[in-house]
Amino acid sequence: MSSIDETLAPRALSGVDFKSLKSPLTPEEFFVLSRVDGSMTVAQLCSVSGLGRPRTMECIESLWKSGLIELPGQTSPAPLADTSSAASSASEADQDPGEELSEAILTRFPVAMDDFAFDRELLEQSVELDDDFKREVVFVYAQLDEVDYYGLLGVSADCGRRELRSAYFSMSKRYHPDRFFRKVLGDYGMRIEKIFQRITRAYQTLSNRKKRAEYDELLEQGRQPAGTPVQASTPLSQRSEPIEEVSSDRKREMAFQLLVRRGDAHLERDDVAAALREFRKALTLKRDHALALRVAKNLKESGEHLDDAVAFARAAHKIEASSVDALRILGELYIMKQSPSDAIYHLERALELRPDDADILAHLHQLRA
Amino acid sequence: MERIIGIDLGTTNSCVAIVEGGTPQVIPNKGGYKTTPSVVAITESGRRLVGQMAKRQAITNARHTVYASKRLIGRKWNSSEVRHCIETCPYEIVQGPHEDVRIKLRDKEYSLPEISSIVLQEMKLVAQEFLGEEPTKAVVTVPAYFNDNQRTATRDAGRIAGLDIVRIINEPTAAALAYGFGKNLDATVAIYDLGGGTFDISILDIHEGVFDVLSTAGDTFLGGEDFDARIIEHLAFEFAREHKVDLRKDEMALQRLRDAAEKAKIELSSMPETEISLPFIHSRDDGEALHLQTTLTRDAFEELVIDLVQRTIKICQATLQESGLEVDDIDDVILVGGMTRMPRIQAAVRDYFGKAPSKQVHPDEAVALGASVQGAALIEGSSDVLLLDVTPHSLGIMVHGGGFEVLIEANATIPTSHGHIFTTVRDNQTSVKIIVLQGESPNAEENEMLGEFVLSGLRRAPAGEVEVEVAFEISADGIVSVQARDLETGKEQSITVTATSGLTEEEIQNMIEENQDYLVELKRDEELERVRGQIRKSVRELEKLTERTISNGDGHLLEHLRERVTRSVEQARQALDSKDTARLNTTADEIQQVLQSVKAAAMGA
Repeated sequence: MSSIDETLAPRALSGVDFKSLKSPLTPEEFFVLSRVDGSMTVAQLCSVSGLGRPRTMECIESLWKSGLIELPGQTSPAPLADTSSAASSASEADQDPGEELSEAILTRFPVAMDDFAFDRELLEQSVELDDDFKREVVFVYAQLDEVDYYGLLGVSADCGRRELRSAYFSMSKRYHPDRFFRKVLGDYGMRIEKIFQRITRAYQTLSNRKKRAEYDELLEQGRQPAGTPVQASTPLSQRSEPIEEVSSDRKREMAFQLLVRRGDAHLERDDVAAALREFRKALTLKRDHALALRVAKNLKESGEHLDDAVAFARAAHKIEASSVDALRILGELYIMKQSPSDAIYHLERALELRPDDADILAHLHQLRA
Repeated sequence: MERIIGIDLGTTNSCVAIVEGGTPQVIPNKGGYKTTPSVVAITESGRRLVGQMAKRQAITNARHTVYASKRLIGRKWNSSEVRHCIETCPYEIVQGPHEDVRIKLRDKEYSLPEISSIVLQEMKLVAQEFLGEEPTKAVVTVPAYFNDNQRTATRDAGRIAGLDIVRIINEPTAAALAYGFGKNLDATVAIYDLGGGTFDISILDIHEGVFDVLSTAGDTFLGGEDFDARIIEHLAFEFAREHKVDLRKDEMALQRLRDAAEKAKIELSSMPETEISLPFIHSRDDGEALHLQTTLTRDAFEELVIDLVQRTIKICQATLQESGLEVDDIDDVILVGGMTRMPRIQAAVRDYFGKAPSKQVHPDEAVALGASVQGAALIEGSSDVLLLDVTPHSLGIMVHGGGFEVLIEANATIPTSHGHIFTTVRDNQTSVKIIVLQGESPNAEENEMLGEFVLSGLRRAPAGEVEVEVAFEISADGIVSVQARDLETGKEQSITVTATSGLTEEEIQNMIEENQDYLVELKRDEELERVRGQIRKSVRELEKLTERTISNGDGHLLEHLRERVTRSVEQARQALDSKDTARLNTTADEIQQVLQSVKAAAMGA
């Protein structure tokens, strides 16, 4: 079975030394290669090759695996060990540097491009960007918080200033808003700007000795196992002082984590009101689905503060419209609040997303009865 | 594709450039000069003069000729800079309706953006002649140390002139673009920019076509004008000692002193001494004429201005420190601005940086060239040039007790954003006022205010319990927006900071209209003048022809036309004073017909 997306348009890589290929190409493969023009899709190639679809697909796959063509958006299958070093450096020089960079960037994130759940609606938005770049922006933006500054810039932990600068400058050329001057960008504009701001922050932090040391320390702390006692009393704000900036240089993320820990500490002491206050603040800092859901669940289990529980479940639903859990908990909460019509509404929507969920079916059955 | 011109709107001179066939080039004006004086005048008849024309008549029309208006743009009426200008400028500076500054020329008060718009319009015309079409978009440069109010005022000037200023960039940055364009540099450079009115220093990291501004600083009130002022002071002082007359109180004399000072300063860049000769500079009440005749040596001049030179070096030191670099880290020092032709300045820069400054860019043209490079880079979206610019001033809000809390530090790469959390100050405080400021002083009052807004509906609680997040954002265009959010309710309030140029939107709209009216009127006047010329020419021709025919003894041939000729010439003379286009055109046609008839009759001979 072929793993190739037939809607992609393969592109031939130039400067490859065919003589140095480990396994020589068949005439058929050569023929298919000669048809590749960068605009025809795999499906179209199949229909024009005259070789029939299965044979053409085989050819394309083998060309792709030997690194003679690339499929934009589909990550390369293997390092191009088959081509000689001279050939590969030539191909690097000829290749659009942006393409190469794109591939390098896309492999920096925990979720791979192929596994990434794209928001169709967003991808279909009509903007003045090509499809590959749209996917790239959505993909990178969504995972900005998942990598540290080193990972984001694609540099090693002991990299020097020049390496850093090179990484940052080439990424800047890709994401600086000036590249898209007065273009229609829709929801992509904000994403591109945020990506640029994040790489800038990364560069400025890592290229300053003092800031880098502080950041490394933060990272170190972050890697400590969960459950490490965190002083819940660590004041985010100096309450004794009137109006005072609080989160100064701390990353928003760190502030978020601290707020969550503070909330949890309050919960331990059964001070639910105080805990909820911290959680709410945390959520305004970062729209974290998991946190909202956890709080809603917690409250539901305690059976108290049902209104607050509904608010958190709603927040979770708002953050992730496709969250079955949020809808289910909302439904269950409305059952507890004895408002069956609301309960049915939310459970039915949950069911649409996960049609065979036994729990939801059971609830609905009960409600309808 | 529409092209974007680059304009260096300078304190003393302006310059326009465009990228043509991949190469940036300066567009010369009609006179063939690559720069145009940033001088605007209104003549007695109410006509506007710009550039060289305005500069030439400055002596006889000093009160209604504005120069160096860039020093006033975007400033508040009660600022010390404005006070200083009121004392030293021959034109009348008056208070505007919004704490702003206006200049009174003839019967009208002009805002500073209007004055600048007249210069911008002239530069636009220069480009238009060259391009063959009206340019509507421009990248305009300002001193790096301009604050937001000054930048907004410059943008407004563009709007009044019918130019969409797509981007404002800093002058030294622009010079760096001109310097590094197409060179594939890998270097850290310092741009020392001493122009007519302002001093800027910027440090940039240039690599693979990316121009990363590391830090920038300056003084918006330190430039060639100040060097001139020192010479004027010196000359006036010497003169007063000898004749007991203060020439600075005599507007005409002051204007002549000003010209002589500038000329002397320029000459001293290439010569060890210069003659200053101003005959009949003043006449006493008893009619005795006084002359100013003296010699100024380079050494004496340098002594007069050495503190100014040292001030620039101090700023260089501070900037370098700020960017965490050592003098040795600077690979190249680039001099920009006319003042850098002064040998003492070149020496000071060389001494401080420990290397001879590069002379690879033209000090008067580099800024406009760089602006055009940025314009082309924006519109093409190519990856040859990318400018990573910074915000020159710290941005923040006023906190309890009048302090200034910085949210975005000076020299942050834009676009950028940053948020902080603040707490209430009083018990049961239900609203907070966010006052947005720009500047480097820890005291809010000493910084420039950009705007304010209120976030209300906070929960009643003991002081310090309610938390509000304030987030600042600067877009790539340099537009600042501020958002305040109640962290409990999520309630938000935000504004786009429209820095005050001193003009309301309504005023700007009026000025745009007025300017368009003026242009229409100007065009009509030119048209009228053309028709008048035609009439005059026809009348002259008619008279000559009649005379010749009569002197040839063929006068009888014209006998039947005589009455008609006399009548139409009389009519034509009267019509010349008219401003009625239709009447002038009819008259022109009429006289033309008579001329034809007379020609035909004379031919009959």
